[in-house]
Amino acid sequence: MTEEEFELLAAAYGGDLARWPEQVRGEAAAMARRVPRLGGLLQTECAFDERIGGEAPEVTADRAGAVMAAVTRAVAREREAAAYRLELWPAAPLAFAVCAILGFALGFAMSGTLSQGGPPQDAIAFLTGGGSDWGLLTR
Amino acid sequence: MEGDGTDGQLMLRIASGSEAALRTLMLRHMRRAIRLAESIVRNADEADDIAQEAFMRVWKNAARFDPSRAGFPAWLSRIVINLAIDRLREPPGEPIENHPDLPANDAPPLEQILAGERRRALQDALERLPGRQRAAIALFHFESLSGRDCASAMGLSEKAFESLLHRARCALKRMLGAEHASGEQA
Repeated sequence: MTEEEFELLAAAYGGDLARWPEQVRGEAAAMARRVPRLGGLLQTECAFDERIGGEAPEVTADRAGAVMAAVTRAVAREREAAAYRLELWPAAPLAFAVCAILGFALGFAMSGTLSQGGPPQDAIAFLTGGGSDWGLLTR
Repeated sequence: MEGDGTDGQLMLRIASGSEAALRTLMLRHMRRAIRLAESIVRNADEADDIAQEAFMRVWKNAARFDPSRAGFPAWLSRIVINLAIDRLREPPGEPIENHPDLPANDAPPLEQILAGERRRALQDALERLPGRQRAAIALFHFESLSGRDCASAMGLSEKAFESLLHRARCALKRMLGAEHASGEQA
C-alpha cells in the first residue's frame, strides 16, 4: 500500500482502522505506526468521524411504537380486504352458472315453441311490414 | 415462541402470514429504519411514512427475501433508501422550520451556542449532500454497517461504495471549511 492509497482509504472510511476493509487493515496499521504523518491523519479523521456520528437523528421508542401501530393497522386492513375479496370470489362462478342454466332453459323452451309449426303468421307480417306487401313481393 | 429466531426465520413466518413475527421484526429494526429514512429526507414526518411503507413492503414481499443474497438489515436498508430517494425526487412541499428560535429569556452559555452552531453547520452540510451520498453517510456512520453491508444495501460493489463514501465525506469537509481541511488532502 502506498501512502496515497492510505490517504484515500482514510478519507473514505475514516480514522478507525477496524472499519476499513478487512484485507487492508493489518498493512494500514503497520504503516500508521511507521509513518507518523499517517498516524496523525487517522486522529484527524477520527475527530471528523465522531462529529458526523453525533448527528444521527434520535428516534424515541414512542415514535417507533406509533409507526409500528400504523403498520399493524394497515396490515389488518389489508387482510380484511383480502378476506372480502375471497368471500366474493365464489359468487362470480355461481352467478355465471345461474345465467348459463337460465339461458339454457329459455333456449330449450323457445325451441319447443318454434318446432310446433314455425312462427305465428302475425309475427311474420309484423317483421315484413304487412301481409299484403309480402304478397306483392313474392308474386 | 413466535417471537424467537433470527431475522431470516422471522421472514419465513411473515411469508406464511404471521403478524406476530412482523411485530418482532419491527421491534428489532423500526428505529433503525426511521433513523435511516430521516438521515436521507431530513424530515421526521416523511421518515415515519417511509418506515411504515418499508415495513408494508416487507409484509407483502417477505416470500421474495433471499438470506443467501443479503442479510435482513441490508435488505430493509435498501427498501428504505429507495423509498427515501424517490421521496427526494418529488417536488418539495411546505417549508419546514428545522431550527426553532431559542427562547429569549433563557439564553444558553457561550459553549452551548458554539456547539449549537457547529451542529447546525453540519446539519446544513448534510442537507446539501445529494441523496445517495447522504445514504452512504447514514449507513456507514449512523448505522455503523460495514463497508460490505453498506454496499449491499445500496446495490453497489464495495469499491463503488468506497468511492461514494469518499465523495460524501470530502464534500462535507469542504462545506464545513478549514476545520476539517487536513482530511481532504486525499
